[in-house]
Amino acid sequence: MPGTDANLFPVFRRFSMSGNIDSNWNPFALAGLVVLTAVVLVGGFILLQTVQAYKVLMTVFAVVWGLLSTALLFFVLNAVAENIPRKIRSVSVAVVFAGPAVILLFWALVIPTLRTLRLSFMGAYAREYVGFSNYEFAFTDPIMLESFRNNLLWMIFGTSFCVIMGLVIAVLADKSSREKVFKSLIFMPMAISFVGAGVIWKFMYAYKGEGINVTEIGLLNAIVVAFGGEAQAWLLIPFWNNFFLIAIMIWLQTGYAMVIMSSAIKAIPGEINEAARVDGANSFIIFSRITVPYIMPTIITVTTTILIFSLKLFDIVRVMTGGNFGTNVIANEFYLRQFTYGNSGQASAIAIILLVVIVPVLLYNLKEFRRRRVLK
Amino acid sequence: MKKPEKGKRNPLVAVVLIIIVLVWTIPTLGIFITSFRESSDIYGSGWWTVLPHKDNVKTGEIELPADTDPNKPVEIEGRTATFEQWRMGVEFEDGRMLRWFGNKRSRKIEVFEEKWVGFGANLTLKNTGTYSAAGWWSIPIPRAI
Repeated sequence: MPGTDANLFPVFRRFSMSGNIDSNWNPFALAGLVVLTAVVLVGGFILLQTVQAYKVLMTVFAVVWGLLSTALLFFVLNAVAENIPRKIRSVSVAVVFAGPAVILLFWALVIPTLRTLRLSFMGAYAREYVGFSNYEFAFTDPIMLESFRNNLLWMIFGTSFCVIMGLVIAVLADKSSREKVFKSLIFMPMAISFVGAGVIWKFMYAYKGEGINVTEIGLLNAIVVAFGGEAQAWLLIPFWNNFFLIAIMIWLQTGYAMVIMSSAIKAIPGEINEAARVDGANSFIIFSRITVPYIMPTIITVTTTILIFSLKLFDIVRVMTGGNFGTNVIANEFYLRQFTYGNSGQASAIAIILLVVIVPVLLYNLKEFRRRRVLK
Repeated sequence: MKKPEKGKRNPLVAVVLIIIVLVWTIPTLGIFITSFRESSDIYGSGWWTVLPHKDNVKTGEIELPADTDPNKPVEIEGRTATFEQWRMGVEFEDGRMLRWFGNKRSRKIEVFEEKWVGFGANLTLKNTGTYSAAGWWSIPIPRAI
């Protein structure tokens, strides 16, 4: 029967007449395919929910069904997108392929953030709104002020030492013939979890206490005693214990900084160094006038990455001191407020503050990435 | 691109690198050695004691007579000292060190001598708890009561 589809689907006819559709799909077949996809998706879901016997069989079915139905879904959505006129095609194709990811991202990131923002204006059990009192707590409580101070210490000393040590090792290793061995050994702590690092450094900082004929089992105390000093409880000395904790992060993260900057150093053309050498420059001048300016974008990227890392630092403090003895940091206080004291309002306020502090660094980092891409 | 300066190496660079790498590696080495030690050893001495070194080794015990008064200076093998001094340990000319064991009532003296130790390190592969009898693959499953 001629003209049937035009009568039933005037929308298709209009587009097909304007002739800007690349697809040669029969609209009926496409509609059937859409229905089939919907049936496969919903049917498989219902089947999986109702049939609980034959565990192995159902697992195999779930895997096969999941893979095939996803492929089918994208195939059909693509076909539908191709049936849309060219003008809005690019948009529709983007929606089809990026849409699910955007929706997931929104569901997993944006909604929890907004929910946290809402919780931060509510009481301990999220029953009533309390205005800005959680933020007032976060900016005036002595524990929080101490946490801010300690985070500042982590940011300044942790980051700078990581970057400087990483740069020095990268430059020195570049001149050595055993470069791979040295770099591997420095990089090794990166493979160790923070909790594992905590155990390792507990043995470094161990303190047996005073008493008769006590043998220190901590390496640091053993060295101090061997040189005639007195054993110290390193993690209990207020203020300075922060630096003993920061040393753990430096130990862990220097490998990361070193590897990234080492690859940047390798990218410096040899001619530049050679030309400088011919002009009579020594190693220090080459380092400060050529190497550092050349890898500056990399240094900035590494610095901001470790900066973000030290801002949200949690594990080391949690494992080593639990935030006691004046070593608390923002992330640990957030953990305590949420899971130990059960105060979701204060915890959310701290989380929002942490987010607000990190976002500018993150944006700068992203901008830097983009700028470098453009320059290339 | 091979760097031309790789040929003539600065020995200072190697020394600095080796020092840094040692500092970076020693903590991990410590936990590695500790993982092979007996629990009582771990808390009794540092992990570096598995290396050969000179240490006080217990070589004997002296039981004091039951009527010894620990509140007065006590004479042992020709040396007279108070309980506190014996408690800290008294060194003899022949290299022995005598130390009071425990509290005053124990009336026991331990004899120590400096010896080289650490050649037969007391290491173990059985730091896996009590359930290792059935093999490493038998993971204990907590039972509901």
